[in-house]
Amino acid sequence: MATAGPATTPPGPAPRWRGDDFPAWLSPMLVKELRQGIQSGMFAWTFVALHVSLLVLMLFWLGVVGANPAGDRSSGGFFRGLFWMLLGGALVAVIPFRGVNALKSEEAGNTFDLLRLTRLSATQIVTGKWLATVAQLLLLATAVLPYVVLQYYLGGYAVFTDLMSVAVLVVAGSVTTALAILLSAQPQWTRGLAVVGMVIGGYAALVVVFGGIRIGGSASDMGSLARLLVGAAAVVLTCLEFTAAKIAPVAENHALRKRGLALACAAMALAALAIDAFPATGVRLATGVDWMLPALLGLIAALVMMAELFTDPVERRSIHEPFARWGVVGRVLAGLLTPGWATAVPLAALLLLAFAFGVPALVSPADDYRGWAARAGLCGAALLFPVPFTRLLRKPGPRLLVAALVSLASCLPLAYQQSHGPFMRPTISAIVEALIAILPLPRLLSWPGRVNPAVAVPPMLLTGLVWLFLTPAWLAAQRRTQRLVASCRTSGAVPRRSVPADGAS
Amino acid sequence: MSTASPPAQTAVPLPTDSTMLVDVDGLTRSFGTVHAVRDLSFAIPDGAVVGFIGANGAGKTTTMRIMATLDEPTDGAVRIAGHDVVERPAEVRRLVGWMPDSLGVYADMTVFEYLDFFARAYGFSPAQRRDRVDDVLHFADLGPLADRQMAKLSKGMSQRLCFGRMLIPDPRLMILDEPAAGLDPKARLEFKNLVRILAGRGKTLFISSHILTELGEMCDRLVFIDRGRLVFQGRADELKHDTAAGRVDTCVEVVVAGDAGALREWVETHAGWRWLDARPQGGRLACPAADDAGLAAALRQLVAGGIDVIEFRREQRRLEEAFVDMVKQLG
Repeated sequence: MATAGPATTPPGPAPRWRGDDFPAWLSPMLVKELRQGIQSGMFAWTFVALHVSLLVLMLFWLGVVGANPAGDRSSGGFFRGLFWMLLGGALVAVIPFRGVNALKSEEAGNTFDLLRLTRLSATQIVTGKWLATVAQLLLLATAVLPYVVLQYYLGGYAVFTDLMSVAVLVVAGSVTTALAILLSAQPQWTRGLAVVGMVIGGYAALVVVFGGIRIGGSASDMGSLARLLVGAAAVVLTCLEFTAAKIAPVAENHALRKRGLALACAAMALAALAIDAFPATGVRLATGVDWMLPALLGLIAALVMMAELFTDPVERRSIHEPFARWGVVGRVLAGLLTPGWATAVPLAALLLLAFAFGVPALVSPADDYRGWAARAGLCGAALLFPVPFTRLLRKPGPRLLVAALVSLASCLPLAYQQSHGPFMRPTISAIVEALIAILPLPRLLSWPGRVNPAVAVPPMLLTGLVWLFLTPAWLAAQRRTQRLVASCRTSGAVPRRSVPADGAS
Repeated sequence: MSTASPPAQTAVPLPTDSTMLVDVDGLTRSFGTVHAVRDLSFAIPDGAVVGFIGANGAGKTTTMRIMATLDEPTDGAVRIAGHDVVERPAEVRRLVGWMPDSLGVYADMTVFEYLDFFARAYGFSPAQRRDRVDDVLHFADLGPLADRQMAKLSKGMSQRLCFGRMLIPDPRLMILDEPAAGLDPKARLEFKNLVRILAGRGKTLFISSHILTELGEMCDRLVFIDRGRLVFQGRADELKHDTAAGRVDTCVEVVVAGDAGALREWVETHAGWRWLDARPQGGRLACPAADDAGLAAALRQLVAGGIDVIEFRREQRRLEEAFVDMVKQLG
């Protein structure tokens, strides 16, 4: 090792550096991941295997077409199906699923801490990994384009639709990659379960979306693709943000970004409904609303807010300081956008109100507005009902599980009623009926069509009652948030409470 | 090394009190019911080389990870250049270099690609990056290995590479967890030289190691912990003479004519004297002497006690002994 003073650059035979090289303008994570990804055996083998398979497939196809030049091309359907299955497998499953180890591989190689200490933010790290996989997907998709065009000469009839199908597969692969990266930040057992779920759910989703795009008429294709892109972007951004929040320092306010995403999703869901309900003619349509995108966006907003309702407050100067600069507005925003369940409550309530009034106003038949509003309110009550029970737990980890168990348990009376039917004793029957009448989820699941919307009131009241127990804790947490913001304004020291023993960053 | 550094480095305000760069105050870290670190407090002056010593599981790595913002304390605070590691992790990360005990390498990259990636990740512009990576390659003597794949590096080479990576952002405080573990004697010597050069450039180094003798030679100050608690902080010579711990023992080697058993018996029956270990025809003893006069008095006491002393030599206490001794005394 050198023991001398300042180093000098040793002369080399050829300049290694070019200051204006293209990668210098790209994210370091993207460059590293792309370099590692393309050099990996997995990518090379997938690339080669896909090409060999498609080549063999095309040769067989050519043979069949050559043997039957008269024009009977019924066998084309089989080859076409096989073609898309192979391509879909590579683009939606094989390449994206490498993302499941995206963060775990860094941990296993002891490089994760080193990455965290660089100037790269958690978002840059996660996005770089995602972009690198998407770039590999694009590379693979571009490389198979000649086969797509070749299909035209083998009896295909819609090159544009086929090219769009490749684009759909790349989009689906991008979504799967984001989900895989989200999984990579989860514990081992969660990843195992989720991978199985993703394979099943992903295939079903692909069949629905892909089938819809391919079968749909040419006029609606662009609209469907646009909706698909918006939905995919929402899923990808949510997955990447949740992953980044998992690896970011506690002192970063990721609640702000997550809740921003939830608000954006809610706004887009309502906008999508409005576009469908009030087309360019200005005539309101009661039917023909495409629910897929609004439902997806609404679900994302609901899931994000549910997750936020399970979090604990974080008391960090770096989080509260930005709000302190905005005076009264900042204090109000701090009460909505700083981490912790207490600040998530008013935002969740706002979103709920927006959906409860917005959705019926846009899509309900004119004579059933109250019924729709009641159903929307029941949806909110069903989501919020289990949350107070989760506050009994000190650790945030199992709260989601507890919420799910409470929701499931609340459905037991309904299950009992369904299984026993008219054979129940009158007393038990009355008790079961009463429970179904007051519990939000069973009431929602057993909604009997057009009935008096007042039946939604008892479950909503019960939810309000359960939440009433949380009110003192909620008020105390909100007061503490306001005090923290105020202490940042006066440059005072932020009083720090001891964190739980396992409260690692 | 040249002074090329990431642009944001200058954006970090310097501490108001320039004497202490690191201030660890009542640090506690628990994992469930296990207390890895308990109420630990010490300070590191700016520009000092400080050794961090403790047995396995004493809480060294936990403390260092908290200092590097990679973990959070259960209680207490750590401030680096006045920035709290919990409140201001981004600012602290701009000041700190971290070399973990486990080598963080990408096996499929070359040495050059690895350093280049980290230079990018630390925000160097292309022109700065070139200078910085070349400097680090030269300083850590990695130039000949630039194109070698990391999977093919030896332990010593990987260690040097990780050291080089830590130097990329030109950190003001370098935290090194067991940097010399597994190195051969030559590599250890080279590492010691690098530490001296960096110390000469005003860098602050916080080094943990099991090789206490080397730490004693390298470090201006030592911090000893045991089971998560601080047991000593001060200069190495203070520890060797044991004055800092409130004791005034001096270690002597005594050779006697005849049976050494009589010497041991005499030591064990006299207050202030301790039997350390046996030697041919004698033993190593701790005697109650703080200075030369005390030592002469101790010799007189031995002779007066009927011990046939033929050799009486003062011994410098070894750090390992001082550490073990200290831990024993703490129970």
